[in-house]
Amino acid sequence: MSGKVTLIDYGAGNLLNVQRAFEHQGAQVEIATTPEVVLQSDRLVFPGVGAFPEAMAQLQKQELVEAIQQAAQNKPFLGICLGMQMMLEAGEEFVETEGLKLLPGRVKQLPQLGVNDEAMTIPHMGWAKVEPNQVAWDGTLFDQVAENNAFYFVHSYFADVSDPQDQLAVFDFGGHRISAAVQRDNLFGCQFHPEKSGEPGLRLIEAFLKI
Amino acid sequence: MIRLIPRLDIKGPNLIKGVKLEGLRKIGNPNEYARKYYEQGADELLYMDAVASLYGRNNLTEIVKETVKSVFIPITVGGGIRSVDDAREILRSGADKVAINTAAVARPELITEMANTFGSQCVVLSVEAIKQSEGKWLAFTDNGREHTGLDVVEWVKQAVELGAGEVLLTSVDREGGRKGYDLELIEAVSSQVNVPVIASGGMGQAMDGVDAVDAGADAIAMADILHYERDTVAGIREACRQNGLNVRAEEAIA
Repeated sequence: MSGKVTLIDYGAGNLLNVQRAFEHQGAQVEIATTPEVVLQSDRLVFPGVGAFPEAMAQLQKQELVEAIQQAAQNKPFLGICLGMQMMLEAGEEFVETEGLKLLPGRVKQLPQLGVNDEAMTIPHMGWAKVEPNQVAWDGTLFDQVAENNAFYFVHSYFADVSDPQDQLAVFDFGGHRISAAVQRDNLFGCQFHPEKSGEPGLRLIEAFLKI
Repeated sequence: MIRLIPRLDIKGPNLIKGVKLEGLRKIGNPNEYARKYYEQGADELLYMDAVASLYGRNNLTEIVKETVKSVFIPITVGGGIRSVDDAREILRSGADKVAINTAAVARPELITEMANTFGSQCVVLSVEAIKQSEGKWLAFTDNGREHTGLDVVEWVKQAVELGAGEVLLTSVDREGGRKGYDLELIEAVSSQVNVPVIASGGMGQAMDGVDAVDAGADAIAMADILHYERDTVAGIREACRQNGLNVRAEEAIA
């Protein structure tokens, strides 16, 4: 398999593990820290660990916001964890912060209570099974994902997408159905870490490289 | 889901194993074992530098850098991490979480500093517990050699308030003994905090892991049982599944 992929580096989070996983699947990885490199890319990966406001501030500092918005109009684009959350319109972590506005929706804190009022552990950390919501997985990035699957999550906030058609997968969190992955046209995002989800995670990375 | 976590204690370039964290015996190349356990379906890996406290630094960065080229699950690294900068170096090598014991005891604010810098989910409090005659446990450091005077349950509660996102709870008494986990210890700690508790020390057979989860553990660390091939991660997982535990399914691994 061939495929060049550009990782957006804005100082937040651990690029190395994402890079290793893509390289393991045969991708040629390029690191982008400037708008020029983002705009010249074939496909973009937008990872992220950390807090929403700081990450957006850093993107602005590196003048990457407009470049990402422009590139995301037609290039295959994958946001991971905080990267997925920042694809939305705004975040509510600590202070109200504007996102990249690639998809309608807001980033909210995970519910503290389950539907039966049980206390939930936050951050949500560990393996969880994901399932389709209103969109079938045939022909999507999740085409080859087993029904009995598990992916690795670490997060305290989640993407509350406005349009259910954008919600590719959900997971169960105390009876709440929380976004695990989003998709619209060339835009993809996953709340879990495919680079830390074993072989099924690597297969998702491979599927993204084939788009 | 319950996590099965192979624990790899490292001395220099070697995977080692002891009894009660002492009498360390050489097992082999850590990366080969890490890869093997990954292929068997481990949910995470735990690397502990067994002699780092003696020398005041962690020597695992090169091993971790090599591991993350072919192992795609979360990795926690502990041993000899004294500062936010030490933690950053380990995380930059590819670790996902950092475990601290000695440095946290010496300066509890380090827990908060690390949580503020990397997030609570990155900060694992490592506790080495030794049971006392009056039915309590005291926390130790340096592989159970150094007495801290801290009550384990109180210390864990304090550390979680300071920002620890997870607890690696090692029973020094049970470690390497193959007689099962200290279930009372697991219950005493897990009932007092709402962060995940990783039970460590004493796994002799798969059912010991089931008992640890029933006692309140969210994850099971195991070493001896795997290193000496008395069982595999896959075998332990199947036993857990048959006993009603929520574990990753077979088709979610391969």
